[in-house]
Formats: sequence, C-alpha cells, structure tokens
Amino acid sequence: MHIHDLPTELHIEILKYLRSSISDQISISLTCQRWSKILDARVFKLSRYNYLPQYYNIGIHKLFDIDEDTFIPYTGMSYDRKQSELYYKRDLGILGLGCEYDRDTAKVTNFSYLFRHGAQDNELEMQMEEFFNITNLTKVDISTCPFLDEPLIIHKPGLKIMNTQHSDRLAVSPMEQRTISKYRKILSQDPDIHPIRPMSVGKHAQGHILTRMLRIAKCECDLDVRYICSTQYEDELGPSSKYRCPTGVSRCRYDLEVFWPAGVVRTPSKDVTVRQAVQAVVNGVLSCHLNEGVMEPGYGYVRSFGFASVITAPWKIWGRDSDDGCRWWHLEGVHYGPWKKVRRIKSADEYDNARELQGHEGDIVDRMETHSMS
Amino acid sequence: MSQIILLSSDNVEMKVDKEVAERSILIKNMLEDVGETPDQAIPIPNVNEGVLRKVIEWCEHHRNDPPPPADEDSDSRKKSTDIEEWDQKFMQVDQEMLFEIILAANYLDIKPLLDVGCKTVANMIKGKSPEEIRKTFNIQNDFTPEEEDQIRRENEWAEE
Repeated sequence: MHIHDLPTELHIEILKYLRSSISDQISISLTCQRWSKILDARVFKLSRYNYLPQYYNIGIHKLFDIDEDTFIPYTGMSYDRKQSELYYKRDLGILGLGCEYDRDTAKVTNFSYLFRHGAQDNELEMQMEEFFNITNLTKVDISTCPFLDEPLIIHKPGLKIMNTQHSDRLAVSPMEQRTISKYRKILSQDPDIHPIRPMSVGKHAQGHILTRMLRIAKCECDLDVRYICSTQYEDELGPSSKYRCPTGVSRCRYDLEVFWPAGVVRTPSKDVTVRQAVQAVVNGVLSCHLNEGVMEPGYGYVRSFGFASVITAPWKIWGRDSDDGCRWWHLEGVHYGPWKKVRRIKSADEYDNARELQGHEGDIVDRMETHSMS
Repeated sequence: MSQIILLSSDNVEMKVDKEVAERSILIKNMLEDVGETPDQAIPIPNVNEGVLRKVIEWCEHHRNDPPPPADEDSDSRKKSTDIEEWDQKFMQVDQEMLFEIILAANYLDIKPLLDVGCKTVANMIKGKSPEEIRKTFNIQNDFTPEEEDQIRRENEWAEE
C-alpha cells in the first residue's frame, strides 16, 4: 500500500499536523501536485500567516517572517562565556526566504528558502548547536512554490485596527553608555554587525538598537535586510521594569524591518504578493546601487516594508517554555511607506564624541516625516 | 466480562472483550443498535486479520483511556505531533501496515488511533526537503519540468 492510496481526507488529517511550520508546508507543496492542491485549502492558507495576538485582523506571510527555529550561524566570533551571554543569539531567527536575480534585467529568477536540517526537539541540543556554530542549513529552490503568489499581508474582515501609538513610548528606553560601549566592543569583532546607532523607529520611539544585517540566502541579491533586536530586552541589561513592554512581558523584544538604503522604483499594490515583495526589495536595492548620487551621502534611508505609520504592536508571544518575551513587529498597516531619511550615519567615534557633548542618550539625528501611501 | 467475535475481511474470527471492541465507535454503535451482545461474528469487511490484530492490540492497551471529548475541535488535536512512547513503538511497522492501520482506524472510527497514525506519518514528513519526502514515501515528482517552467514564466511579473 502506498501513501497515495489513502483517501484525500486522511492526507488532510496528516498534513494538518504540519501546519505550524512554513518550512514543512513549503516542502509538502513541492513534493507532489496532490499535496500542493491540499495546501491550497483555506485552512492551510490561513495558517501561513502570523497574526497579531491583540490585533489579529492582520497577518503577515510566514515566508517573509523570521523563522524562530533557525539560528544565525556565528561568523567567526570568539568571546568569553560572559560576553557570549551578553550577545546571546538564542532568540534570534533567520529570514529563510532568498532570491537570485538577473543582473541585466533586474528580474528575480529564482527564489530559495533555507531549510534547517534535523530539527532539534531538545532545547539543550539546540543551544549547543547554536553556540558552536553547527547550524546546518540547506538552500532549496522554491521558485515554483505557490505560496510566493499569496498576499504578503492579509486582513481578516470585520475587525478594527487599534491604534497603539502610545505603546512604543513605553517600550523603548535608551541604553546606558556603558552598555553601549560593552556591546560595541563585542560587536566590533563581527563584521556583519553594524555599530550601535541611535534608534529612530517612527516618531514615537527613541532608543538604541543593535542591528544585524541578514544577507538573505547568502545574498545573491545583496538585500539589506536587517534583523533588529532591541538589546534592552536581552538578559542582564538594566532594570527590567524600565524595559518592560506594554503587555508586561519583559525581555526579548524583536523588531523586524526591511531596510534598504535608497531609491523608490515602483509603487507596489496593496495586494502585493510575497514574490512581488521580494522583487520590490531587489528593485529598491538595485535602484540604490544605480543611483547612488541621487541620495544624500552619509544618510541612511529606510522604507518600512508593507507598513503604514500608526501601529506598533506586540506581534506574538514566544512559544518556547523557557522564554517569556514577545516579539514586536513594526506593523504599520497594509501599505508601503515612503522612503524616510532616518539618520545620519556616523562612525562609532563620531557618535561617542557627539554623545559626550550632548550628555544624554538617544538623540535622533535626522528624520523625515512619514507619509503613508494607501 | 462479555466478549464478542470480530470477523476480518479474510474470514478470520477473533474474540475480543466487548469493552475493548467498543473503543471503535463504529462497533459500539452497532452493538447499541443490536441491543444485546450478538452470538454471531461481527464482520469487519475492510480490515484484514493482520491489521485487525494490531488494532485490537492498540485498543487493549488503551482500554481504560477516557474517551476523547465528543465535541473536541479537530484543530486542537492538530497542535502537537508528540506521541506517547508505547504508541511510538506500536507504530514501528512498515509503511504498508502503518497506512492500513490509519485506514482501519478511520473506518472503525477510533479517533485516538487515527491521530497516532497521522502523527506518525506527519513526523516522517517533518523537517524534510521535498526530495527527502519523495524518497521516504516513494512518491513520484509529478511536477514536470514543463509545468515548472510554465509556473516560472507566469510569475515573470516584474513589469510595472
């Protein structure tokens, strides 16, 4: 007897157990046509989105979300145990989606996804794997995966988006200088990690962030996608009450924003698909490279991807038993925002000097107002 | 304790405690309809001897389990692929038997056994690449290169 001898209803029963993992869903959809069709059912489609717990009318496609079970491999950093705890990456994930593009036409030719081999159920094994850089990732071509043509963001009808502008004021506090210095020392050993800079996230937040550039799928398209981890939510950093997020859950704040440095090439539609979103990012990056002169040198430019401007809300509660943090997603609606000139890029020394003169934390150097496009 | 006789599709009779057989909602309903313990064997036409013995083995081990809530949302049963140790060992069979057990559990309406069977298969899929899944279950790749090319062409949408 072959698995395909089972009736479709039983295939559905089996595959329902794998709904929570986008990696598994991708694999299933690419295995055979029968399973691909099954996964086209609404019950599976809806499971491919992460929803805001409190504002659950909005979901973002898991393809474009961080895979929490896959860790960023270390890049040759070596530090002592204490320091490693300070910059402990257990809670980081990886954006598994990647692409390749044709340099002549700027068209994305292939989409790929990073699969983690041998999913570890054991927490200790996972930590060991992470700590010793044993992350085993395989890039799989998913260009024909139908999920790429699903909307990046979905709206469940009938529920209102709540304005939570006040929330991130509560959530973000500047780090102390000594903490920044400590981090800078650690991070200076890792070429992939940017120096700590003043944070400028919308007009309601101010503080410091640690940015890590994730090069999607080894960066065939050289995307600047930064996974932003608010360090003030990590362990051992200051009094927890100061860094508590509005839900009362401390630690482990994550922001994911898609940054690319410059250049609006096109106005994406509201119904943009995952595939289109990636292409838009590529266009943005290429445009930047091709039009570097257009942008003011020395400034960073940011475009919130698929988001408007008003909502910053806790994205989801972490599932692991040992973690009680929540991830934050700068979900700002279902639109593309315009480019924002967010900050003047300073060297670490320049930043330190400026800070000493000003004598306080967290100045935002420059910012342009956001004008969302619907 | 009263016993009943089950008759497999290959005409093998098996004596089973009524309590054990009633883990099957199908059999339980049949017995309720009849109103008394039947003298004659109850035919189970879709399940052969080997599979029926396995199903009975499972039912005997789980004879004292509380029945699953009748109104249990099927989604709530789909959250975890964890399987009890005994059930894991029970399901260490070849794929043909595994699928037969799933079919039998579905036919006999034994939801907990169906869940264990489906979870076992799900765990065999979990974490694998498409190619590994095909290899595991001997599934043909029925996406032809032409179809894949066509999908790619359809998605060359990069026009403004």
